Amino acid sequence: MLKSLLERVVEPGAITALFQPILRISGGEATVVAVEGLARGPRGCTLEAPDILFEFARRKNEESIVDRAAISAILREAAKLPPGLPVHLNVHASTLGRDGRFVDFLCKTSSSLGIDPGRLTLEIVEHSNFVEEENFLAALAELRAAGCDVALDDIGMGMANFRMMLIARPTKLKIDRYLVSGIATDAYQQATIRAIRLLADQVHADLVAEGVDNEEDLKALRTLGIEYAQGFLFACPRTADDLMATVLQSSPQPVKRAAVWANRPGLSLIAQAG
Amino acid sequence: MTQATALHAAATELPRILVVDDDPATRELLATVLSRSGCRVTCAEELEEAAAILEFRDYDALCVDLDLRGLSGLEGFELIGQAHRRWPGLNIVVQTGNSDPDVHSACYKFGARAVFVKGQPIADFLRLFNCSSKEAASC
Repeated sequence: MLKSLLERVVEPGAITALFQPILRISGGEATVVAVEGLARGPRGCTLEAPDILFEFARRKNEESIVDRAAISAILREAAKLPPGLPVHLNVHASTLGRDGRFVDFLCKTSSSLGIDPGRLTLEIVEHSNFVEEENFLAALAELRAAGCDVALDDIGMGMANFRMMLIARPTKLKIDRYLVSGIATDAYQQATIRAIRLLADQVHADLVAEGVDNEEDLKALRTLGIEYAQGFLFACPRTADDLMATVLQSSPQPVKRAAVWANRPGLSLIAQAG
Repeated sequence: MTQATALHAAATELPRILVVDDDPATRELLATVLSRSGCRVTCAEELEEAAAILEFRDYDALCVDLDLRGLSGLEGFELIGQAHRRWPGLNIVVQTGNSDPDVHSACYKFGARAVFVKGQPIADFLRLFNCSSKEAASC
């Protein structure tokens, strides 16, 4: 019997893993501090494009199975990267809310490949109002107990809203390229990023600007005090082998995770009146 | 074919057609004849795949099989209606093996621009997309 499209997508080897560096842009020369793993669907198929691949998964209500397949493919390739280099992975909020064994899968898969789960940051993507808040929170607690970091992806777009920020309490906020691209010449974008930075400062979260494609935008982001960035200006998504042979060879060796992402003090409450 | 409708307004650009059919042979045939007639064709085998594509890419026309596996008659009409509401500028061409005029009327009512009955001359099918059948005749 012919396999369904979904079955073919999640077959081992069908999804290709690419990586894009995340760099510290504050303080002189930009330095690679982490990589984001990115999935591409089967070659030559409409689902090769990641936006279509994951929209397909959402429309099938099969985010979890596709997230797992993508993460497996990325981790297999990530095993080739330097052992100290943090790796970001994307996961749907709905996967964390509905797939009760996801964190177990993640930890077992990474450990079997020699990747310490402590190297991993899970970038939460949200495309719908999810309702499994209790399960979601339990999954986040498991992730943190395993040593993983939690980031919120696509800040400023779609469903990546304040409610999710309050629920997930991410330690990294990734600003969507929509707010970043062209920021050098747009005062409204600059004002928006300033506001996000103020928020990030208040909750002691690191800010990563996505979609940095030119020097002018990079300069504007530095002026606004953004510390981390990724985009085509630095490197397009590429295979682990290619990354090792190019970007990681020419960049200073990534420093240990603890030194890369600043230590964050705990939040303090405003003293209540009376 | 129950109605010939000119679907593509911009004569200077190649029409972009998204073909949805779960039969690989039919997909291949439609893609070949449309491509040889000057259309840019993308194929999808499932509705969810087609919807995901339409969410991120622009097309002039959607050519969808009303007899897709697992799609009941009523679901097919609802699907046409949903696509018409979500992408009002998209010209929906329905292909079906059903020659019942009531079925065709329902397709139009839900937003289809044209209905093509399978088995009719391929030239009639191509005319729905403002395509010439001359080049496709070699298929």
